[in-house]
Amino acid sequence: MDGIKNWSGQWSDGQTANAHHVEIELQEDNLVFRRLDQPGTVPQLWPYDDIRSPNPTHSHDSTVLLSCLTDPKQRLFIDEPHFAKHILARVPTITAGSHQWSLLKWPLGIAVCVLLFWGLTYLNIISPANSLAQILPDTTRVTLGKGVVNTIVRDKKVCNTAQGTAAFDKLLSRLYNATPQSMNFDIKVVDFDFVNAFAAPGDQIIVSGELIRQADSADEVAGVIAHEMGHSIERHPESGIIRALGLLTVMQIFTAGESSTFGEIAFYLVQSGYSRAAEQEADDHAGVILNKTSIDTRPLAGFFKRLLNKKSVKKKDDKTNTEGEGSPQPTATAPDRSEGKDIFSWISSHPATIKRMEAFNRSTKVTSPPILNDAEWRALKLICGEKNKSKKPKKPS
Amino acid sequence: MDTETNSLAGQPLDIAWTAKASNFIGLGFKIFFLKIITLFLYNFWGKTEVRKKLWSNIRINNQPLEYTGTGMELFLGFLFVTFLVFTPAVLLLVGLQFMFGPESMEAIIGIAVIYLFFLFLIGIAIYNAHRYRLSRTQWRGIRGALKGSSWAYAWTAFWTTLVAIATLGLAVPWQSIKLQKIMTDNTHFGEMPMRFTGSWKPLFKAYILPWIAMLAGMGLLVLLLLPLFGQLTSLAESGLPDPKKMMTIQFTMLGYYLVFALFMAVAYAWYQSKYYNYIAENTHFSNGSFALSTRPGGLMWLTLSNFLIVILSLSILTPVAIARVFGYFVDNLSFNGTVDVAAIEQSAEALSKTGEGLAEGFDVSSF
Repeated sequence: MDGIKNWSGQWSDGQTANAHHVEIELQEDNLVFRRLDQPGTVPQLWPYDDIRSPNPTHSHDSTVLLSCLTDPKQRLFIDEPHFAKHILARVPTITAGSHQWSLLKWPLGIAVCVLLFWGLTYLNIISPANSLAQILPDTTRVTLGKGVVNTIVRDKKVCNTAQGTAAFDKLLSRLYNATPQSMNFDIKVVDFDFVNAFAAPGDQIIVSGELIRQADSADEVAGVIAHEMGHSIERHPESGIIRALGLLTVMQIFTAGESSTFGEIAFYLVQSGYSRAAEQEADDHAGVILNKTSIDTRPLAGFFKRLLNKKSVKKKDDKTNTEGEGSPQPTATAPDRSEGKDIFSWISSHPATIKRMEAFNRSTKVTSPPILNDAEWRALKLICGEKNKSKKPKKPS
Repeated sequence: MDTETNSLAGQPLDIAWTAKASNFIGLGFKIFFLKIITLFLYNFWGKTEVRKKLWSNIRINNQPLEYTGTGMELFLGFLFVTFLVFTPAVLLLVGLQFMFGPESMEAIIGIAVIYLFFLFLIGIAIYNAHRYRLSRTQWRGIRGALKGSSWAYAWTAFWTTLVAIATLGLAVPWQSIKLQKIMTDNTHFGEMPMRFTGSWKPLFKAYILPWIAMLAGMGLLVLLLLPLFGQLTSLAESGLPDPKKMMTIQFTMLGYYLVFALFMAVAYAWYQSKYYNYIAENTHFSNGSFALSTRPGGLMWLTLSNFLIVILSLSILTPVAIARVFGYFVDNLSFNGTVDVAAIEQSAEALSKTGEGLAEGFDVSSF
């Protein structure tokens, strides 16, 4: 025993809150302690490998609390100034560093996995939202789509005149010939006074009355609808919602629910336009559909260009207005945000679309006559009535 | 003899706080850094780290308390609540609005029911969070336990809240005592229960003055704010509002509100201090009872200074603020009488596997 220091401590058996005075000895492989109140009892051995401390132990600590894996309820409490230094030299698992690592390994590991997952999604190597959208049952898609449409359409009327609707149906039936049989489109014109069209889940498409008023030909309208059909075929609206819910959930997890759930959903739905890749896919479909049905794609490209020009002119006007009146007026192509009218805003990807449409034109020859005759086109233009004369499109020069 | 079991009457309890709040400054910055490198996921583990340090600085007869909860338990509890409670609720909310339209009667009734249900769930969350923390608190290897049903507590909390609202807050002391009794009587250390013997009547005397002051203050606030609201509305409707004038009115309103909030803090600090001290002295354990000596001034200073610490440090130093609260209460807490520690047996309560979750936590057994 020469040279080996004995320490005094208090031992609790984990059965009651009682504490017994013990004498502790740090041997080569074990911590050994003997009860002083019952000197005859067998000394207990705690192997250093099994010793843990509920809290990190520092060498300057004046007290140390230990437990042992063999009976985790037992506790050994040592109130001696230099004991910490000696036990730390023998038990590395109770150091502050070891405690820190045990706290950090899980969150760090999960964060790395999440970053990897995000990277793979970002690089389009995996697309979980798309995969989920593909297996969504049709009834769910339609219910979801109706909800989206109801939320956006609200009390706006669905435009319907005998001749206008007949012309619209004629236009659609031509497009349907070039779309997959499995698609079950429900396409409506709604009396919005801004230029927009959007695809909702369940193959539902809404075209604004103002878009038809602003268009110069039925072929332009057909082009827009073909583009939206492209989104529907690829189930972009469905994957958009799934992605928004997924993002929201991830955000909730990482901010520990410190953000307001419902507001976030609305935020994502409003903010999530389609990605560039999704727009390209929709454009590809539009090109295929229009080519298959021999509809000229140039009018669509021209329509985009005209809207673009109008938007930039209008923006300049708005700047002047802002300075003069204090409240900017919504433009035809950039509707009033405060009313959420630009949900699924459509025009944002037009520069690419113009280029692609023009590319299609260069590669195909359209010989067939316009999709609607003059009388039918006039009827379609009046499907939502003739209002906002000031917004009537200029005759092409 | 060396064992502490000798005296039949047990032993006195000495409760002490051994840390300085400044010891938590480094911890605050470290947790902030680790949150950033783990995309804020360290939140749960950081909370655990803070608790471990707080608990270990509370000494009873020189031996520290232990916090044995883990970050993973809190994280799993949170995931459980997010996926099994909040996500279905949000889907239901959105679904109702989609199916019936956002302004339909069906949607409005549905939403109201969901919100009422959530009000009820708050009670469950509070009780289960308390249950979780107690089950993860140990002294000499013996853990705490909260027995009883969280649903029963939540129901009492729910209907007494309705009574409190109906009486314009006059019933608050009665409600607090009612809930405190359920909580304390179900609290155990090991298998030894605590007992609560307080009643609402002595507290009511301390409450009535601040309550009248609150009503009067609120009335005055409404009287002062209403004309300003009127001015603001008419300015806004005039088409060309003068921004300077609008700002002046808004700042005046904010000023009134701040004065009111300060006035309320002062009026209620007196009651709050009395309330905490009263709860402690009516909480009994073994052969004694607790005593707490908080003062209104001390509580007010603690609240105000902690508010500033959290705001000015962008909440990085929240652990310091929490440590100050712990320090203040533990320093002022004592135990009169003795405790027969040898009679405190290990708790037989089963341990839940998940932590408090999002709002405070719902454990699996509640559902």
